Amino acid sequence: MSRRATRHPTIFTLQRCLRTAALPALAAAVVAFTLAMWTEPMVASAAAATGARAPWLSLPIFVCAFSCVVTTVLFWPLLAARRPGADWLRRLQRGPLHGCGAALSGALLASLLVCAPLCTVYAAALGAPSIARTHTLVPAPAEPLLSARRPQLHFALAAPLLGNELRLRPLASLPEGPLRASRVRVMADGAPLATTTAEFDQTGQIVRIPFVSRTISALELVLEDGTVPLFFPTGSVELIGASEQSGLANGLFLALLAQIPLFVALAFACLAGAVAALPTVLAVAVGVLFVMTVGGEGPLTAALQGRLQGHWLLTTSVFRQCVPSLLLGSTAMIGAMMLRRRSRR
Amino acid sequence: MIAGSWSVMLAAGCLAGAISLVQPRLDDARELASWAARPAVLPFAWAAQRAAMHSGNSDEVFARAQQLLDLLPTWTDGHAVFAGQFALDGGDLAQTGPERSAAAHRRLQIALAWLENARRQAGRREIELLEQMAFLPDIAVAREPGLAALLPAGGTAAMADHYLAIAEQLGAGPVVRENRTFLAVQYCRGLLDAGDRRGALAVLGAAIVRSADVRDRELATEWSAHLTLVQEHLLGEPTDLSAVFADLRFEPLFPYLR
Repeated sequence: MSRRATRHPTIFTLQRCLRTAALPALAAAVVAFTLAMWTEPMVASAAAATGARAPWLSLPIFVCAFSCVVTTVLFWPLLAARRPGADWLRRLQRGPLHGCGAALSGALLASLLVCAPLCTVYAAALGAPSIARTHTLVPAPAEPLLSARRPQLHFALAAPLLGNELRLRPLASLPEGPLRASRVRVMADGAPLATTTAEFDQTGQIVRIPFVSRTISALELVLEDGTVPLFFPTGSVELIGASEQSGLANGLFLALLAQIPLFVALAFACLAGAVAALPTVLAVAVGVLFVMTVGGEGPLTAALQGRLQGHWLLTTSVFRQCVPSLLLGSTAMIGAMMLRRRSRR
Repeated sequence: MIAGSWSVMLAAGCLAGAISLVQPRLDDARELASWAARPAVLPFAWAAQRAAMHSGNSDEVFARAQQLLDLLPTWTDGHAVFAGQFALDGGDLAQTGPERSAAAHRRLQIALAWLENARRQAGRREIELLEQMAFLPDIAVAREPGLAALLPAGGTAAMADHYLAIAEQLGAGPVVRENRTFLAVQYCRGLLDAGDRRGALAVLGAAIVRSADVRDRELATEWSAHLTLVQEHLLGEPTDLSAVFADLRFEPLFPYLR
């Protein structure tokens, strides 16, 4: 690497963040793992409850992101107003963000390097499966109510999918007469998917229908008997893909997704830093980070759960969940550019 | 500066004195940690619990409930409802016959073991928790009849007797056996709040049977009749509930009867 490249703000921030974030994240992982083992839940199948270990995976990721945010804001003088050395740097860094974007990318790179082993090795130690499968949410028809008056529902898939399991989790309405569980037969491309019917009489019940791998392009639910009307919105019918994906690749993709809260937090720091002093900028950045990690806003919480449950994350639905956060972060960066340009005049 | 150091030394002395007087145990430290963590963690724990109910399986829901109740160790109603929900879960509908009964048996054992564990922190509500534990086998068998064959000798009656005997030893007296049926309303409310109508119906069924334990026959008949009316209403049958609305012991269930 050339001398000029090693003196780039990205590399400086990367080195600084790695130095400050790696050990706390490792310590948090050790503590979280110990707590996860100590508070092992009493359940029938520990493998079925791995999704409940998501808080223990999110803790070291939060610690890493928190360390990176604080380090970057303290390290790069132009991320807050009226910092010592800011005027010198402003003359040297002539870009629209005065090197704040480069500092941000350094922090993101450092966090990615720390999160990669956390999301692969540490997640596997917490029980994340070594393989992942695609979970496709089948889009609901226009009127997704299955009742005696409308005993058939037709679900069309956007494209034919090779699957080997179907999961149904409808919402149940009040019975239309004396309570009798509704029995539903599932048909795939005109043929019955299973020999037995699925029974529902209240919300929250989940029915798994395993079948021999086959390509499915349309599903039909037929009400055979019962008085409980069932509502099947998008998300209540899930088709599990038959092909196995790598758990390692899934972990690496999770590490990428884990950078979104950090990106948004630092983007807001960049925006606030155009006018506010250090304490305000730190409060804004940490607040945004807290809301997007521990608070569960944004795509990370669902992605952590998906990783631990063996859901393949590289899908359009996960990408769709990321779009609002990415847009929010990008808008904050654009706002920061405009504010800084105005203050320069 | 000197005043500041004296204040720190005085505070440290007071703290040391307090610790030596109270003699804290590990459980106290745990309670203190959970008290400190509660405000920051509890809202997210509830959100995670709700998310698990929408997208997870029964094991995950129960695991999340345990994380939540680790923060609220003295909330016995919550323990009873979540344990009941887990024990009464319909299980894997692909399973049939003995396999299904064995799974129900395992869930019942786990739920009872967890409630047993919760007794240590239940404090003055331990007796109530024991009464609810005595209720659970009855309800589980009503839900999964194949389970009866897997229970120890004496079946649900022996299991209930075991817990009620402990409650009696703890000072509840013989009235604890009669009380069991009256607990059903609160238990039923908890299950309905959690969206478990089938569980609530199973509780009502067991409470109707248990009303035979009440020695005052007039009270027992009236109570059983009211429970039957609620059961019929939840089953979707047309019912006149005026007698139930006049009975304030059923107040917790009123939102689900209107």
